[in-house]
Amino acid sequence: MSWITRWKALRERGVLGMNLRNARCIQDLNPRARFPTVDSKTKMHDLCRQIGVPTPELYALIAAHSALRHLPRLVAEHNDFVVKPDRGSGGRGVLVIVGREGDSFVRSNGERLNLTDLQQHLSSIVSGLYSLGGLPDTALLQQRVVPDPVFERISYEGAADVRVILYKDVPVMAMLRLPTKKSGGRANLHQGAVGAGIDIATGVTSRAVLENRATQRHPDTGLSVLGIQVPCWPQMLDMARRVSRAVGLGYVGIDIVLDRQSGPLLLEANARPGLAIQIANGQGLLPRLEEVDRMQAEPSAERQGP
Amino acid sequence: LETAMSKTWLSTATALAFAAGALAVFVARKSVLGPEADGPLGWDVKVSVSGTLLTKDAAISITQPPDFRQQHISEERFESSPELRPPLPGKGAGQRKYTWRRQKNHTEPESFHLEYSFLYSRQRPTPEMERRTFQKNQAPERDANLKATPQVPAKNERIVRCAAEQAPANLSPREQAHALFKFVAGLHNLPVPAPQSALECLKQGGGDALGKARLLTALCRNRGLPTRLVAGLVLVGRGDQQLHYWVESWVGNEWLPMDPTHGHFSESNLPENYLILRIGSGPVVAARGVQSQERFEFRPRHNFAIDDYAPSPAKTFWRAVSLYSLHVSEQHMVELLLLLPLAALLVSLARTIIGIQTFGIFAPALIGLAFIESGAFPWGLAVFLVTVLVGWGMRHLLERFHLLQVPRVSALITLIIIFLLAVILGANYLGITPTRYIALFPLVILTFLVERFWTIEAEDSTSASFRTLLYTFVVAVAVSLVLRHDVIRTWMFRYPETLGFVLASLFLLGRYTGYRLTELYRFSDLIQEPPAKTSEGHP
Repeated sequence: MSWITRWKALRERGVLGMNLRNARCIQDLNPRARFPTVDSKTKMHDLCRQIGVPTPELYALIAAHSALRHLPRLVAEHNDFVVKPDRGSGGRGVLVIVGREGDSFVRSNGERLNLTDLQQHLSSIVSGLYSLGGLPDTALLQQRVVPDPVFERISYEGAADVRVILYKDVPVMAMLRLPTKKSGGRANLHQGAVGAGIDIATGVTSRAVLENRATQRHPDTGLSVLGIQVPCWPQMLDMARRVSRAVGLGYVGIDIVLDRQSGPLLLEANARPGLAIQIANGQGLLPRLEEVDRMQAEPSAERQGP
Repeated sequence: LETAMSKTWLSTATALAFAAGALAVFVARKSVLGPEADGPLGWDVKVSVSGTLLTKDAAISITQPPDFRQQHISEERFESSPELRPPLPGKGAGQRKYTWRRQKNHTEPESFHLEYSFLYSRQRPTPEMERRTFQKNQAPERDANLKATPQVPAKNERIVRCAAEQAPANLSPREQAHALFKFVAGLHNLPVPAPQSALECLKQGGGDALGKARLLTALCRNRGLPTRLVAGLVLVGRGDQQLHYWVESWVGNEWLPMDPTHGHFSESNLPENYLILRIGSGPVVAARGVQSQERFEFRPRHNFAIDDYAPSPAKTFWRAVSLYSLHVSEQHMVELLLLLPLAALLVSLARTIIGIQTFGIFAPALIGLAFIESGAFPWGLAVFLVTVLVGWGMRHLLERFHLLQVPRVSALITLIIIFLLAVILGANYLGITPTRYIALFPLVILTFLVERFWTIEAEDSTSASFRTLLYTFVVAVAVSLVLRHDVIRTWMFRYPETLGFVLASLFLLGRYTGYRLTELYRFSDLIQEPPAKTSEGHP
């Protein structure tokens, strides 16, 4: 197939390319000044609390080495929790504690840590070891998300999440992201996770993508990832809309996890959401973005419609 | 998408403005300077040496013509056959020179060829030229220009007698010099089979330029006038020429040029087509362990006409803002500087149009430029790749220590430099000169590259980081393949306003919203699908 044929086919399908996304969506609609909010987990947490969107509970913030001596008291009440760097990326520096065994903490991979190990890990986070800029960082002690059985069954380790892309605060596309062995428990598609496109209207998965190619089954569990009804779907869309409005980004990806007890929890927002979601949905984003533009250009006409 | 369109229009309009500005400068420069826009009116001079390399330490040196008085040198270019290593600049007897050495560990006789070319023009001296003029025009050191040597036997009996006869002591120094000049100029101009000494020239009653210049030097020195030999070219017409020789005598607190062969006396009489290649008695082309022949060729760059003693203010302005007015060593740096935006443009094209992932923009651009400079692909490439891989290994070792970022990166730089020292020493032992390929400049980039490599590996996968490394080198090699051509280098140097077009392209590229070529394949699955019937029908 020639380049021109491919090009025309992509245009016809309304596929959003990287250049178009960067110029028209990110450069034009996402003011740089709003990025620190989405890049920092604590700021996102505060924002969610303000607008009443559920998010994993924040047990403690450790911003200085001197605070580490309070660690036993801080974790005393919590059997399981997650340790994260505030401005980390790509899942670096994340430590998941699933339970206790005597004095030691049990990690999700079964490894056991004592209090000193934990303090050392927190100390390296605070020193900026996992923040990409190398600047001193803050360590978070967060509620551990226990994946809902619906998702746990079809994913390999880690927590599956739902990514919703919003354009001018309107949800335009969504997918379910399922960690695989290759992605190392992380839900990023370019790291090897499975993405299953979700129909915005119904919340049911219809297609899936693995490494940029269409798939039907999870590579590790072998189970079909299609036809799954995402629980609490309307609630998730509502959360995504509210967060999108609050962060002030015109083109944003919102990640929501589903906790067994707490239900949908907002995990994070992304100012540069990837494009593979189009393959997961078998649809280009452009027609939907244009639809939103049309709707917002003539709101009165929309209301007067039949 | 209203903002989108307005930003795109703004960018397009700005790009057009840049292009129009560049075009205006180009047209103005061309119309005012005419052919002179392609470099000042002057001669393209080429010194070529060819012959056979005999010994292991064979070397050829050529002195760089002095950039002084009204003599300006620009556009230096070097070319040599692979038997020789690239030339190294050096300083010999007060004058800069370039030395070509033989490749290491070669001992058998090999033929070779090398060329050193430059543009010689006359102009009002720049401050840098003034400084050099001042240096060269200083009073002679105490005895250096009075010495008697075998070729210039100033104390020889016949020379003494002749000098006393021609220039009696009661004359002023200038009159003495003029009398001696008249005497030597009056001798016959004869072709001679071998270089003459001053004495031979006197005995034979004439000789070639070298013999007569030596004789005049000996006579002047004998009269106590500090005198030095000057070697150069008399640029007449075009083609080949022998080296020409004349002298300068220190008379009345200045160096007085005298050419006894063509009968020119004093600065005002020495024509503009006299190019000085070397001041002093040393050779212009010096060779060691070599059997060689040198040729001096020249041709006027334009139909050379010196009708230009009172140039218009516009002409003076455009000459002043021409990069040709810089000193030749600064010209080299400026040439490289002008290539950097072009390299960045190429990287932008690769990333935006093709969609190749690279480690940043500067890494491929600067590595590409480093390859141009070193000139040697296989070795430069190998050293770079191996260094990145070793640096990557070191980065993994460093990860164990959980060091803070800034000390860690500094430690990485130190480790990479230790490794490079080992490579340089090892290669030197094996007879390769890797220092040509490892400039300090791209090293910093290299450390940054190792950090980025490691980050991508940690966040994505090892294969992703190796893929990015491969693409970075592919783009770097492409950059150097495109930019290594002298045509581009010369064009940018003559018309730096081309940067306006580069800016215009970048502004357009910055709002380019078409698909990247790699995306045509990345989204293959969306192409093969029949267009799904979307629920939201178009009105």
